[in-house]
Amino acid sequence: MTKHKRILIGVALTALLAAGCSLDTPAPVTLDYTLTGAEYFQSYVAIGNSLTAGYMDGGLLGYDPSKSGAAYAQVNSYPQLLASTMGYAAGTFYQPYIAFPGIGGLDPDDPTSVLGVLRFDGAGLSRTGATPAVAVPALAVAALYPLPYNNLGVPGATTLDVTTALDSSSSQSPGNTFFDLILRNPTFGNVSMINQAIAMGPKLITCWIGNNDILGGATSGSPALGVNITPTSMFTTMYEDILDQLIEGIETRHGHTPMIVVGNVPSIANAPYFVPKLLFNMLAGGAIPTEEDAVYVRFPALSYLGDGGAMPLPAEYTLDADEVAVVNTAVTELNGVIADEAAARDNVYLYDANAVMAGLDPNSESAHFLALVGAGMPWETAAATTYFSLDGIHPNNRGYALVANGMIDVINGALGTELPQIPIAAITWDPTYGMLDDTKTYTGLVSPEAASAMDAIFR
Amino acid sequence: MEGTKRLLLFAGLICLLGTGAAFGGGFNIYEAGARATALGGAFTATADDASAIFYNPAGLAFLEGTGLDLNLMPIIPSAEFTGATPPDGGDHATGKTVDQSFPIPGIYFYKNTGELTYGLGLYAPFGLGVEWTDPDSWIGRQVSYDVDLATVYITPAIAWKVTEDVSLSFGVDIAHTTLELNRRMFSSALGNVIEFDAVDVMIEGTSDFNFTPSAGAMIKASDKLTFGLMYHHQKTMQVEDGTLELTNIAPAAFAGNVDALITGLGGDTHSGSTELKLPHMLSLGAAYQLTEKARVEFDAVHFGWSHFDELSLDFGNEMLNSTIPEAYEDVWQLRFGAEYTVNDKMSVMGGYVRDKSPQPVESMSPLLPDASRDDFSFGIQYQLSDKLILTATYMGVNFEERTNVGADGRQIVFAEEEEEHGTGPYPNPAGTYDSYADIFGVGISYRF
Repeated sequence: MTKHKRILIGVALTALLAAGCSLDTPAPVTLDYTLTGAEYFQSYVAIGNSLTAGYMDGGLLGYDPSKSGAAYAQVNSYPQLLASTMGYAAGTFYQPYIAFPGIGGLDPDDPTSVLGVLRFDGAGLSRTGATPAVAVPALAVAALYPLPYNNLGVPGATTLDVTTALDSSSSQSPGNTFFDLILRNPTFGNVSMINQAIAMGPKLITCWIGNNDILGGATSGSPALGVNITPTSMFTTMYEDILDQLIEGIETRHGHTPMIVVGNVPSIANAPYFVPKLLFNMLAGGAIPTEEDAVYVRFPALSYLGDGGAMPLPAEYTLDADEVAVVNTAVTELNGVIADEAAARDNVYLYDANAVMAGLDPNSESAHFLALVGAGMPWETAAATTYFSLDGIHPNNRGYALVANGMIDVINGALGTELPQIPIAAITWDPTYGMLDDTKTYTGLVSPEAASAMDAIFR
Repeated sequence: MEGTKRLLLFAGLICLLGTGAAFGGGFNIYEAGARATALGGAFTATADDASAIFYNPAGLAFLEGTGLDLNLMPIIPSAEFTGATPPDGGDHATGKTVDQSFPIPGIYFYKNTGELTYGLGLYAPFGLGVEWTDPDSWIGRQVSYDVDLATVYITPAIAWKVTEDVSLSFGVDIAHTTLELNRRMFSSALGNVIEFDAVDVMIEGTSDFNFTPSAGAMIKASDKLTFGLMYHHQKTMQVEDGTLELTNIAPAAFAGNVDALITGLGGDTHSGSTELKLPHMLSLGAAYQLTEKARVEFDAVHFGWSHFDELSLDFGNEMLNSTIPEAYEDVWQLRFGAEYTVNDKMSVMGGYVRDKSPQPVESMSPLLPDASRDDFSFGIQYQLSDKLILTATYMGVNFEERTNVGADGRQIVFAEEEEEHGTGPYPNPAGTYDSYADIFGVGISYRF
């Protein structure tokens, strides 16, 4: 072997070692998950309270498993309507469906019985039925769905509950089993509504919360800031918490910034539950003595009247001018906070529910169904006129479609997309639940069993 | 013969213990003999030792007497992963494979009886071994943190010397696959919203024996020019005895829930099946004697990787089944080898391989982060005696760095994945892989 050959081999070997042997740690590339347009529609989660849950007629009711095709309020919740519009196939947007007869309030005469939802019986309000309290969990037909629900609205939830409530006992309304049925802790590892939403990694979130921070005061008949109305400063902190946690949590865990549509708090003046005194007298068929400066009478007073309760009407049934002022101030302030917090963030947009409700005609669109019927309107026409359900606080099917359309406008405006409007004229609402019997055995407009619901419907 | 029998047994044992590593495009291992590897695997038209049973048994027709070749080719792979920086600017994930060595066997025997030459070989042309360090935090652990896949071929072949210049060969590739896959199931996959590793999943199975034909030809066109042609048919390995074991590894607070979920899934042990699809290999080679002492060969090898369209694991339960889309593409490999005869006892060899990856970037995963490679090889062959030849070889396999994040900052995934997950996150982590492998080889050729 000559020397130059050896050198050649040496060079070849060195070249080989130089060519190989390099395992460099790659420099990181950077992900950019800025979403655009319809990409936001790929996953959607709704958080909120009863308005989001699809609560209607004083309770929560989805469908009747024993009657195929019998679909009720939850199937027409605004989150479901939005999801369908965004392209979710039927049955893929998960909601905590409650089976017939639904879950309303406890029977005041029998605490082991949970009443169903309100229905119009042809003359006044009755109930769809009742379920023994022990059998209530069996009504939650979607309880075994293995992921958090897309619709996490819990009837009764306050702003604080969104971040802190894990179940009924840790919520602001202990005893409200909707927290247990919808958040399903401890099975899900004791995770709050907001964290269940974050875990889902939604691209679009609707968050309509705050109503119960005021409504509790208003429906008590004696609203007081800091007692049954959340003080503004506290509300601001809690609201910022919700938005920041949602955005940061989803960015950190899922790598994208979600779009959030927030809804504000409609003024009570526009809910038929709060009956202007003049209209109330009309419904009651005469001037009813009340506290001196009463402006609104709460709807359940009709039941009190029907029972022949003592006069004048107890103060808890009315709101006087000062009380109305307290409530209206709170609504204005909280809505100011919601608008400011939304405006301060790039991906948060406001749906002005208050303006939409205020824009309804109080003599028809936001009149109580019973008021319309009482004024001589056929019930079918009344059902196709008002946007509110029998409980006077929550929208009916038409009302939820109106909400969905408002949100669609906000989304289209923000993203430049062209989600179609839901044709409200084609949406029907049957307040009779197909159980029109017209065998009224009570006086007034509200049966005693229906009346028992009335005090629990501020959920 | 006693000694060689013992050696044979020993080598067989190694091959049973050893598992593969991924070092020809996809999970092909083209390194079936030390001499051929030193020549960059450009051996179809040379095929002048017993490893011809893999590279081209037609070459056996031109060998004399009886021979036994024992090759052991330890492959030492390493890979690093750098996760993509998340959009919020947080920390990126990192990963690294465990240092492992996979001894790839190549055991060949032939006997020339004149017009016909009989051969028998045992080698492992397909395999995969990727184990990531730190299975508790490895970002891709829900796809795989440790996978071992080995396919051993046993090929009996006959070579027929048709004329002094032309030979043909026919063989049967009898293959057997073992596979083991370890991965994690996250709590979220089981419906829990707090993220933790809930279940350790171990999948293992062995295939039925699979029989397919192989055939080759060698043509000595002139004193200097030889052509070779070789074909191994594609295979679909059926694994019918697969088992899947679930182990609850949830934190104590959730252990009860996870136990209940495992019970809900039907217990901790499941049986199932899978198919592993192996490509055909078609190699065309031309060898040319440049001078009395120098020869070169150029091969083009076609791999029918489009056969490997998906890997589906069927355990009769929706939550345990998975279909991993692979969508590999057919590729041509280019192989170049050169040999210089230093003297009548020693020769030196070198080779280069351009190996284009058959794997689309969409299916690049912790299971197999493939990339196109450039391989460089070098070897020395030394004749100890009339009967014994020793070969030592080294091959460096240099993978190109490869990322599954596009210029727009989006992870590149299959359309159906995007439909399911939108912009993500996807099970395969987003980021960049870099891999390298050292292949060492020793070969002993014994001529009887």
